[in-house]
Amino acid sequence: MNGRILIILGLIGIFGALPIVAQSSGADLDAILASIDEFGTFQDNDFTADYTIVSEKPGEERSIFEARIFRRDSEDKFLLIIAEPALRRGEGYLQVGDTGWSYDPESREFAIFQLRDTFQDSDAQNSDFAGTRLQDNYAVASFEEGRLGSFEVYILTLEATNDTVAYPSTKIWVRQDNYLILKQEDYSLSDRLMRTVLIPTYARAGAYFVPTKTLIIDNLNQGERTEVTVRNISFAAIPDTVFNRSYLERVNR
Amino acid sequence: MKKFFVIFVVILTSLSLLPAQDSGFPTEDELFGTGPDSSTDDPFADPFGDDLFGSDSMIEDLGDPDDPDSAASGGGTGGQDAFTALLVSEAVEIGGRVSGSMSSLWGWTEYPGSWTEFTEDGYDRMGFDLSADLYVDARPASNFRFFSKVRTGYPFATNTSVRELYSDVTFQDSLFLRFGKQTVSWGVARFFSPADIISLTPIDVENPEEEREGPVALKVNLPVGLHSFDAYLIGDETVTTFRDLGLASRAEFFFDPVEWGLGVGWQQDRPLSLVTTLRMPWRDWSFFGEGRVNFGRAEQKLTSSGGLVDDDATYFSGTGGFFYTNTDAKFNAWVQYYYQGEGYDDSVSYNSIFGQVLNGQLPGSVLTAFGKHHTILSLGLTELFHEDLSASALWQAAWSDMSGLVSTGLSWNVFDGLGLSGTVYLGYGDRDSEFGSLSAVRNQVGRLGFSLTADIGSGRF
Repeated sequence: MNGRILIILGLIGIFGALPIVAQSSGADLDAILASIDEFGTFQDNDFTADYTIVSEKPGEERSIFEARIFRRDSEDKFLLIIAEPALRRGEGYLQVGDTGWSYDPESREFAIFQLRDTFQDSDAQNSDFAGTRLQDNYAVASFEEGRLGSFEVYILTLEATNDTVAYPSTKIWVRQDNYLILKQEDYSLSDRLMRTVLIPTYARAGAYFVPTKTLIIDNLNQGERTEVTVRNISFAAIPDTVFNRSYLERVNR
Repeated sequence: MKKFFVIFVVILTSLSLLPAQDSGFPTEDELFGTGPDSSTDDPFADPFGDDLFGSDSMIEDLGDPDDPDSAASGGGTGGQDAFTALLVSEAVEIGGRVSGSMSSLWGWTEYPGSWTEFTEDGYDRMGFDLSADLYVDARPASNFRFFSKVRTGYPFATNTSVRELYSDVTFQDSLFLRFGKQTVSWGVARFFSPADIISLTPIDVENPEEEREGPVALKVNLPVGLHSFDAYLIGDETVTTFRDLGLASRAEFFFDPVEWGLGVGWQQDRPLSLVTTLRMPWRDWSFFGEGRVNFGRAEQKLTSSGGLVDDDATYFSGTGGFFYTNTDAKFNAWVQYYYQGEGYDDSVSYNSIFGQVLNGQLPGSVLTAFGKHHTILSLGLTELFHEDLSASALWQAAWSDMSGLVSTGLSWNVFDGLGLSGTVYLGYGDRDSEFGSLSAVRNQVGRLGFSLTADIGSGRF
């Protein structure tokens, strides 16, 4: 009898502790992830912005790309067109749902494109430019409170719930007062730190937040790093004709 | 003892004051220090300095996106003109591509069975390849564009041609017209594309991404969401009446993640063709397939007795395959099977077809896919031990006559502008087969070959 009680108490202890961990210090982890997704996913407006991607590798010239990005998150549509360097102007890719196309100006063909690939050999992933989908792709594995600079933060370790994301595990530092991500560490399946992402500045438009500067450090290759700067942000409506392959073909050289 | 403890503390303190080794990651001081270092432009120096984190200056307020007067609703170049600005250019753009290489090939038409045969029965060829594309791209308005591309190659007198020359006109940003000589790509397959009934040249299997020559045509394109409808009027210098024009039309539908195309094409002296295409990505894989029904044959058919006859039979051709890529492993693979309904079985020999092509009775295209059953396997490692070293393998097989060609190569990008590559070729099949024949179009090497190529100064401008 005593043994059964002990087992029951043990089970209650194990399963009862889980929500306690999740809700420790009053932090609602689901709400944090939901807020991050809402900040970075623009459901009620189209989005246009110019991105500058500066990539550095030891012993190589600094690579600079400028790209214009169009997003319609409500329909899961995304278009990136390269503006600089001039040699690559007009190249880009269109993503709709889980399908992406890039247009090859040499063969004049549309190739299937992977959103989780890296952008132009930089440390940035193509998915870094799309909407945030933490709730769909990750579950919170652990949680703690901490401090980053002068900000109180929640530190969440997230485990991927599917294999469509670039990294199976990621750790995020989230401001406690507004749930903005300040720092992110991405890990491989073997729990090796792959890259560190720092986001020191944001732009706010109503309930939306856009990282205006992102610093990405390659933790595998010493000295490799990428800076992404965003400007000319607009939430004005974009015509439907922009989000089709004809437009991608027309802007191409 | 006390003295030892003091020395120990001093050493520890000294060690902690040593500058951190540069790991590519900001140090604690840089991250959480006293503010950005104004003496450096390095954005990584202090991204989380107290100046930023001490206040909400890290957030720039753009206003309400639904307020027409706010910056968020369309200020700067990110506003309403952002999408049309990409279609307009004040300057006429001139650009192109140049390709230069020296290559040397050592080959054997028969497998060398001894050292003597290896050293004495081989042949060698040296070649210089020099070619360039030059294009002009003018975009005076968002609804008008002119584009022309000229290609030249050594020897220039016989290798210069206009590859593309067309104008684009847009009607109310919804109907798109293109008139002129243009590249047309209907297929979705990699190496063989039976659905591509408009291109004037077949895919170069060893360089499948190479642009193919297209006809002079009027193309009308109507995108409807992510679906697309195209219609073509196709002509060439022989067209003198309306009846000589070729007609083609295609509808492409997108049902995430499946792309499905349906098309039809007809031109006088060419068979009526119905085609369909299918493509679907799934994770690291992309599957593709094409089908074509031809009512008749464009050229005459060679019979087993050696005669040429007109042929109005109905033929089905189809292909299917997949592409796999693993970006972490830097690996990719293409696999494709092609069934060619018009292909010949073993009752007709390759050499007899070759003779008819030499006589001008049959077009050279019949030699690029002679049999009925074909497969191609292509493997690539874009990074092998070092980011500048890559490896590839290509196996082409014709199963109707059991012949084929295997090639494996290594490429080294010595520096930008200079690349070296080496390839080993192994051909098989009897002397009257698609790859084994001494006159095989798809095997220019023989039974065994080694090539070394230096790419010099190739690139785009």
